[in-house]
Amino acid sequence: MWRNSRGTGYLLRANLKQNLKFSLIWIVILVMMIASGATKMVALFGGPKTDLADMKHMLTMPGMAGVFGAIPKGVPLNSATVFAGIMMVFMVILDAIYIIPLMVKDTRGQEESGLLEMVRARTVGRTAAVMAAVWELLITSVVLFVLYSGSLMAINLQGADLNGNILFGLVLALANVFFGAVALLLAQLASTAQGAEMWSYVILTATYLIRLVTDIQNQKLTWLSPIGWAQKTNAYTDNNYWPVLMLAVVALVLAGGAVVIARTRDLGTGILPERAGRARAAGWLRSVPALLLRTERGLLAGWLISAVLMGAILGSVLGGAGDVLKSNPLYRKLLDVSQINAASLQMTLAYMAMFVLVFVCLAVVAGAQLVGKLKSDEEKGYLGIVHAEKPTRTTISLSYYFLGLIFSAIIYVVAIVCLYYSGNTTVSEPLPSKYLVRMLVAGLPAVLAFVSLAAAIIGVIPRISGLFWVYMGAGLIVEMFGPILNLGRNAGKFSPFGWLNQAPVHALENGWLWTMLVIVVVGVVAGVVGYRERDVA
Amino acid sequence: MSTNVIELNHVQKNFGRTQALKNVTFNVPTGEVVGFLGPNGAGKSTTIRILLGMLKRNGGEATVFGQDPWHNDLQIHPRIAYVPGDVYLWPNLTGGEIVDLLLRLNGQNHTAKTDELMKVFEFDPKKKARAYSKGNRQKVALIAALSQDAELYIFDEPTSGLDPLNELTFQQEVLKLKEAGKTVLLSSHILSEVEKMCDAIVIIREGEIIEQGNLDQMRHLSRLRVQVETDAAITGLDKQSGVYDLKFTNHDQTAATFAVDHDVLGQVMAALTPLGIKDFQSTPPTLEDLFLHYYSDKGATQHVAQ
Repeated sequence: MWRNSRGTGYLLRANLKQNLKFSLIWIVILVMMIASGATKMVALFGGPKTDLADMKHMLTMPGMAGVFGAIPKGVPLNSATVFAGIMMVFMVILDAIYIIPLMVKDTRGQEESGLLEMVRARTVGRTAAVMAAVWELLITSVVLFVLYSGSLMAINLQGADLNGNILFGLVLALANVFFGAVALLLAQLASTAQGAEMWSYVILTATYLIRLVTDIQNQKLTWLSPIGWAQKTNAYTDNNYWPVLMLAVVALVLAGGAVVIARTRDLGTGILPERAGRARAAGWLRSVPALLLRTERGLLAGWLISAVLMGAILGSVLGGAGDVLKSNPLYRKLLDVSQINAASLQMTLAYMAMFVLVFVCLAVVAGAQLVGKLKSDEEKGYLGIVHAEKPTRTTISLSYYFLGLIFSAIIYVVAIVCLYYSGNTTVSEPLPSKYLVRMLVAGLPAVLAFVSLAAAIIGVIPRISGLFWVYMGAGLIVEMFGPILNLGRNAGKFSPFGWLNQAPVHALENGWLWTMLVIVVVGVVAGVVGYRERDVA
Repeated sequence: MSTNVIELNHVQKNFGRTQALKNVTFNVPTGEVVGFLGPNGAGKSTTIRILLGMLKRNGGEATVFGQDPWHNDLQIHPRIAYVPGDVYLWPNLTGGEIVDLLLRLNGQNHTAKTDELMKVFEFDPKKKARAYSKGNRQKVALIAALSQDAELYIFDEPTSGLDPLNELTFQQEVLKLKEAGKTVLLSSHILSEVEKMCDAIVIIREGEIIEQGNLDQMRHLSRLRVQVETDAAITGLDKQSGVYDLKFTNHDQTAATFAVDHDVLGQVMAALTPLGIKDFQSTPPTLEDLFLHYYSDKGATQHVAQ
């Protein structure tokens, strides 16, 4: 055992150094999210009573519980409990998005790049890479725990106590460990780094969806999802430590599995066997776009399935959103049937507007990921040979950009159509099709504007492609949480998310439509010109 | 009609502050096989990437088929077959799929020649690219390039991952191209590989062309490395002109290694024979010997100039 992990310390130091920038940026973002969320909560509860009433009202809705996480009945609403209710699921997901690529990179990624082969030829044990990753996981988790709990103690929410602050930080740190362990195990099972990452995200999405549905339908069943465990700690009320232990035990089993597999597995192979492929290319494989479709087909299929599932599941929540009003006796007394129907339609539309943001985001991530392949395929050297062939840099870059644009549009349309039709099966009055059209007309240009912006960055200055995600993330957070965080109505207007004008609640303003279409054209042209004018590898 | 397929004139290339190419000037005439020699990092791949329009030069002129490679890649590329130094392939495609794709991208097809090449290189086209070794990845690029009907073939250190048998196959294929009157630019850091196939060689070092010309002329200039053992102590060699780097390897001074110019080899042999030669090994000049020669020459001419 110890012989197998010889060299762990050395690898750990190398990894920590290598990933320092990545981890620092993420940890700062994560702690900022906690700190700003908590500060906003203080402002909210100290602010006008109407805001607070709106907030409390919102928290009781099934859609809200679905997206952010349910606050159990009977819990007193104060800054601390509302903070925990809104932030827990969100932070667990952010933790996972940070740690999954890091863990895959440390293990399978190093194996794929050939680094590990060089290292392992030295007196470095078979499991050293996995053990080093485990240690890095523990170190980052401890840092996160200290910073999370520390910043909560510093802000001192109303209704918070030391026990709750520690539990909140602890369970988030453990969630980090849990998803890190999931990624480590999948990195041993899958045969590529991309596969390992993809499967980790599939599991993350599945755990989110399970807790989404169960939070709405039956909160006891939320125990089925590891993200649900984090919610079940009920920090600041029950302060239940059992879920922390559950996360720790399961993470230990997963990481242990990863170590066991690493000890017996051949370097560079997955557990899942490789089939013999075809000796000759299919007849249609004769152009750069065809090549991209062939190499990325797994990715494309994965995104399409997610779009269908998310559309259908979020749609199934819509019925509940509108029904809240109908089942509320106070509203029934105050309003007549048509007024109730109108109000519940508004309520449903407000939810759809939030889901539009989610789907724009989904489609943009898919499209920008494809556009980003132009950079990563080049860095991996795949394009070296192709550059010497007939397809010019214009053809090559346009193939990536158009595939990204077209595919993101398909993802968005599929998700929205699934949302609309699955929503219609649950609401009492079918939604007029003009709302479907509104969602499509407003969302598509936003999706395309984002993806073409990614194309411009990849084409002109690929070095700063990370900034695209920062811009998009900031745009989404401000638009989605703006109302909760008391930001102005126009705060989100710095990104296409803000230009959607809360479709389908309002129709899109013509000016923004044109702005977005101009951005699409300019972005793609800039991307092509930039790619033509710079050196390629 | 003898024209140049490739013409490079004072080409320069900077990467940030480092100057990768300082002054690259040479031509590749139609129908010739030209060896492009230099140590790792000398600028061979950078020069080739400029010829393929992948890098933008910072100065000088470059033409391929009389056209600017940066602007006219569409016209130039279909006439070129290229094998990069490091071949990286899409991991989830098979070798066979990639060969077909590379041919088709240039408007060509899988032919009997392709199958023949797969056979002589002992290549299994059914494996996924991620399972291939470096040599096998190189074979993918080689098979695609050699089965393409091109006018100019550019090979960037094509045999660095091949075993000796496959290396020989590659040399035979290049000789076939030579017979067919194709133009070939072959980069390498191994002189012996180049001299078997090339009509002329061009030597690059630290971004500058330091030597070019007919291989015979250059070998005439270069030195052999000799290891010799005799019955009697070796004397007088240190005074012989054209002998360099003389070192005795035993106390009796009956064994020695030295480098010798081709034109004094006869005199050296005449001096050694009376001593009773027990063992005599000579190795062909390595690239390093050529460099040594170049620099000592340069030193000598500078000395004369003073």
